[in-house]
Amino acid sequence: MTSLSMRGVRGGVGTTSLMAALGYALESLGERVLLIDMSPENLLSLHFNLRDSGKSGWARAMLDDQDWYKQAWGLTPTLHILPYGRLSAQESMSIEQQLIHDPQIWARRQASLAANYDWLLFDLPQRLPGHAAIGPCLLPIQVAEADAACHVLLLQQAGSNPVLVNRYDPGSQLQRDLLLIWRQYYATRLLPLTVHADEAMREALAFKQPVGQYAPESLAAQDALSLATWCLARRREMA
Amino acid sequence: MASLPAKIQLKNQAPSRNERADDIARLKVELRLPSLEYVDVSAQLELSRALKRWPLLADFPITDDRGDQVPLPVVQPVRQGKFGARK
Repeated sequence: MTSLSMRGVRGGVGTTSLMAALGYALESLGERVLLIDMSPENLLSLHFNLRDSGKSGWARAMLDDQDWYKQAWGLTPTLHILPYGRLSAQESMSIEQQLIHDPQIWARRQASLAANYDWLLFDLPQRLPGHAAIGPCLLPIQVAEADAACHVLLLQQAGSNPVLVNRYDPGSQLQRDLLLIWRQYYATRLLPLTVHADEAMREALAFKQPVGQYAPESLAAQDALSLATWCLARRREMA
Repeated sequence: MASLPAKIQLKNQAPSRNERADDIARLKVELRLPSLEYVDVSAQLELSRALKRWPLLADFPITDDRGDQVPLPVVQPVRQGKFGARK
């Protein structure tokens, strides 16, 4: 089992939609996938037409003293999703405190899930370090747009996690320039592929589907498939 | 699934995009001339133009000793008249 997480360098870079697309793409390549929504916005399940999940989710279950693992939904036999659940801001902070107090919670949960899945995909929120403590993670990807804000934030964060450029528009001079600069200076950190800007990605959420299902021929869906293939190659290399 | 012939199988430690795409670096290896001095002028020019085109990038330069030493964007009040100027 391999764990992968995605977190935006800043908010609003399209991380959740990309995560839904990646989960769908990995499953289409024959992998057993569990998508885990770590974000209090609880939006990931909307890509899978799961409004009926109502308030339930792993965080809701923790508050209500129920079993977290019973909150997952099977979308296909090999593509499952574990929503966050509907919580008030105060309730999410209470979960945050619990996760900070016991940062091994998700490491233990990962171990209990290992036999059933090839991939655990964690959609991480922006500013909740407790929620980002998911245990061992082979591919902790930071998602960026090629814009000035992400440029400054990447410099300030000075980490070493892999960076993936989302919503890339090759027609933009600024984006071309930033990608050139980033490729030069972040050589090994930057993923060798980008996900192109594509209206199909936005439409997919409005259609309650991941982009690979909504528009399999779209550029974004093809990019998500390339990303999934890259993930499989990285897993093989790092094994 | 058929596997690739051993000769062109990927190395365990995949080379970075720069290494893969850098014909000159590969040529140095092939010719066994690691000390060959070669400057890719057009690539350097392109990079330098990209850095000069956007004033903000000059305020946030990427250097090898990056990290805590990146100055805050505002260390002094912006003077009237300068605000909004291109350079």
